[in-house]
Amino acid sequence: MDESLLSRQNEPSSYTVMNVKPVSYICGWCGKENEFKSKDELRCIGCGYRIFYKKRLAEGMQYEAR
Amino acid sequence: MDANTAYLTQNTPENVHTVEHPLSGGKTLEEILSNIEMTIIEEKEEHLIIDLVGIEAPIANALRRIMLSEVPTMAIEDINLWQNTSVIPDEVLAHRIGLIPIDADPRLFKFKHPNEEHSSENCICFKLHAVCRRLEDGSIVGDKVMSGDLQWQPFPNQQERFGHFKPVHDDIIIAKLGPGQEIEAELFCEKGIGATHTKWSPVCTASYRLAPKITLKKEIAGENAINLKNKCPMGVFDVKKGKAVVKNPRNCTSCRECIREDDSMVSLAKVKDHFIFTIETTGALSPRDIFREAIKELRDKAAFWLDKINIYKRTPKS
Repeated sequence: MDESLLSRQNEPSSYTVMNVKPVSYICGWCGKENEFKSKDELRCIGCGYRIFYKKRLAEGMQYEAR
Repeated sequence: MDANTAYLTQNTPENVHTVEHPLSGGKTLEEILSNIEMTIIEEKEEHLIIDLVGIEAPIANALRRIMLSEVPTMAIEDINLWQNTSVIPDEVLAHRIGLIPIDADPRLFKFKHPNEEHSSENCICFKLHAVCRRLEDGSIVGDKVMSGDLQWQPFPNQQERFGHFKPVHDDIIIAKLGPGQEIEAELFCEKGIGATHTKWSPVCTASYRLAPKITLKKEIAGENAINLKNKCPMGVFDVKKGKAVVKNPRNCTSCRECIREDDSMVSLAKVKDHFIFTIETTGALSPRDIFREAIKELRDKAAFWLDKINIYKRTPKS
C-alpha cells in the first residue's frame, strides 16, 4: 500500500499533466480567489469559509441581446 | 346627426362608421390636405401631446404603428461575454443589457448588414467590467451593476465625429453581484427597428384617442348642475353662476356616468377626425423627432407604392 503511494508520487501523475494552470475558485463568503491542490483542505485562506464557486474557464461567449 | 361625430349612448355607440374614400362620397384630396391641422398641446422632454385634426383613422393608425415599430434607434445587439460569475444566467444578462436605451442619434449611423463588420459607421461599442469585493471591514463594494458602468469604447474617428455616447439613464440596475463575482463584457450597438425587436422601438408608448365632444342638450341649473358636477370623476363639468358648464372636455374617459340616467341632458360624443396623440420617448430621440421621422417614413412608404402602381400601370397587359 505504502509502496504504491510512493511510486505514484515519483511518476508524473495525470493531475499534474492535465492541470498545468492551477484552477482558482472563488470563496462564497469573502470572494477571495483560492487555488487548491488535490489533497488540500477546502478552506478559504482569508476567512475559512468552506463553499467555493468555480470560475469560468472558456475564452468568452458571444450572445445576441434578444 | 353630424356625420363627423360618433355618439356615446347608454347602451351603444352610434354613428361610428366613417367615409374614407373620396369616391364613396367623402372629401376630395385637396379638401383633406387643406384642412389638416396640427397643434402641440403639451411638449416636455420625454413626452408630447399633439392634436391632429382632419386626417382619417387609417393614416393616424399608420403613424402610430410606424412610431412603434419602424422608426430606427440604436440598441445593444451583440455581446462578447468574457466573464460572468453572477447568479444571473448569461442569456438573461444579455437580454437585460440589450434593453438599455442608448442616447445616440440613429440618423448618424447606417444599418449593419449581417455579413458586415462592426465599424465606426454602424456601431457603438461599450465595455462593461464590474467586480464586487468584500473589504477588510466586512463592507461590500460594487454589488450593483448599473447602466452607468458602461464605458464607451470609441471606434477610430468616432470621438471627433459624434462627441460622446452613453446610456440614457445611468441608474438602471443590470445585475446584482455577490462578493468576488464579476461581469466582463464587450457590447456592440446596432441600428435597428422595433419590428425586429422591441428594444429598438423609440417610444415607451405612442397612442391616440379621439377628441371628446361634450355638449349639454338643455340648460342645467341649480341642484341638477351641482349633481352633474359631482357625478363626473374626471372633473369635466363645472358650475358657473348656478348653471352647469363643460369645463374640461379633454379629461373625459368615456365612463358614461353622466349619461346613466334616462333623462340625462348631456351628449357625449367623439370627433371622428380629431386625434389626440400621446408620444412618450425612451430618450434616444425627442418625441418631436419621433413624430417627424414617422411622417417621413410614411411618405417614403407611400412613394414606394406609388412607384409600384405606376410601373404596373405602364406594363402592357397580356
